[in-house]
Amino acid sequence: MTSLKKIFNKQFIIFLRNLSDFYPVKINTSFLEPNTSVSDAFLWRTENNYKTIFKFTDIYKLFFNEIGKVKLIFYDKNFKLLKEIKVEEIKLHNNFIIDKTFMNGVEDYGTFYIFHETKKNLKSVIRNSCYTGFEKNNNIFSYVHGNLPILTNKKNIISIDIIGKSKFFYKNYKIQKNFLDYDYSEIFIHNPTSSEIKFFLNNYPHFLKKYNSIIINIKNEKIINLKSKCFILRPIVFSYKNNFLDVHHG
Amino acid sequence: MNFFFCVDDTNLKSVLSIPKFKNESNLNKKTQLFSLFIKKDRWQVGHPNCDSDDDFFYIDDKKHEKDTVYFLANFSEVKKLIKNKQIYNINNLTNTNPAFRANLEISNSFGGFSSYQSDYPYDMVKLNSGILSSVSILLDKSADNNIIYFRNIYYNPIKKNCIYYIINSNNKTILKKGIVQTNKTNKINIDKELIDEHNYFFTTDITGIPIFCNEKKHHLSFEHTHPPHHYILSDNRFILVKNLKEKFYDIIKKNI
Repeated sequence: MTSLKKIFNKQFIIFLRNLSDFYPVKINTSFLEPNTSVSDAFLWRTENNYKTIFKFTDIYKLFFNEIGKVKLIFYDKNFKLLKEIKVEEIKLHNNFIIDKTFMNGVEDYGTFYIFHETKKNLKSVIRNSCYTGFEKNNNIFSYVHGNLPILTNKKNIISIDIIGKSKFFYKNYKIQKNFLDYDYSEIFIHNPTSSEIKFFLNNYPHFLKKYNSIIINIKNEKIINLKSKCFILRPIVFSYKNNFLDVHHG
Repeated sequence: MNFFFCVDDTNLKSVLSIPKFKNESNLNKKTQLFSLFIKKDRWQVGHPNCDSDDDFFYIDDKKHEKDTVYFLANFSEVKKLIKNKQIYNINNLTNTNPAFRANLEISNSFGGFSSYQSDYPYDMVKLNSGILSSVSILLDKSADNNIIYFRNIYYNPIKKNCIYYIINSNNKTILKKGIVQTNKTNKINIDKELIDEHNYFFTTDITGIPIFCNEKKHHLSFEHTHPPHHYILSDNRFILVKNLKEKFYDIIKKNI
């Protein structure tokens, strides 16, 4: 009871801090209980000849020498469930190709999540923040690491809202890169919260429902500023020059 | 306080674009870019003659001296940077969440390019603990070239030789070892046969940022790995990482 009270007090203080914008807790993982598996939101894309690779580590094997299994859940850009698969026997490091064949002919983009499973009580909260690579036309995969922890899974119950949101105040997230040097760029933005957000990309408004995502084309813009009430709206950037491609987080 | 660095590989071009703004707000207009380098076993601070505009400082290979690093500060702060031959944390201009980053882009003569948002936090310059990183997770057996760039910045103005190991965690063997230096971007070519799920890049007495680069048909990929504690959110993360690293220390001890 005492520990429940402590958790409540902590969460209540975080709620007040976020509400008042006083030292807000941008990423709140303090409510997570042991044996929870947390996943970043990973982008997949199969449109325009894109192929995605997901390279991930068996975190239970690495730290606890326990062979785990994983569940991968794929959503489209509107957070509609497309596919869920379980991989029973995974290696220490795994490569997983996501192309239009794997996505049953879907040529689009969306997000996926990975949850590690074990029956043992390992008294730990793990986060999969591994690596996705993107390639077109059988060239090299350009890799980017996981961006933000978004969803959690404990005993098959998916829980939410690790990334905080201000009730009243807009926040800027200016990407620290000069975008003028490229033919064009694409900005992948994912709503990391369980409610709709309004955001402005260089003052142009967009709406994203919960966990939805969007890719926005950018040309002739030097600076990209994302303004929203989300504490962190960190995008993934695709920049193109001639026939070459670069992917990184913003 | 963050430092920024270049790749220092004569086979590639690199451009470091250091922003004059934070993610959430602008920097103070008095903020300047300074360089930091070792000369005659002492730290020296310089004022780089680099290109800049309203938003960025640009360091390209022509304006960059090998192993030099860069930082943002006001003139009044810089005097406090070096004391007793060591570098100290002098400001919190770049202490942001997410971290204050510069874009570090590499390119080859065919137009292939890749970048990542880079920084080297001051907290790391005081460390001399080792690092552990999977070799296979960001490298590619089918690539033409696989390279690990391993950047260290150390608070003492020394170029100390340290050992790196490529260790197979499954059969507990050391597959390769070599020298990396402090205060340098070290380049380590990785042969294809070393790209295996059980192989790890490991150091015992030097920390740093491992950045993995592969090149195929002139296309490039350039990305850093997370340290192992990034995968654990619970309070036991440092114990778990310590236990994990112990296994690699044991392999080294048994193989020497």
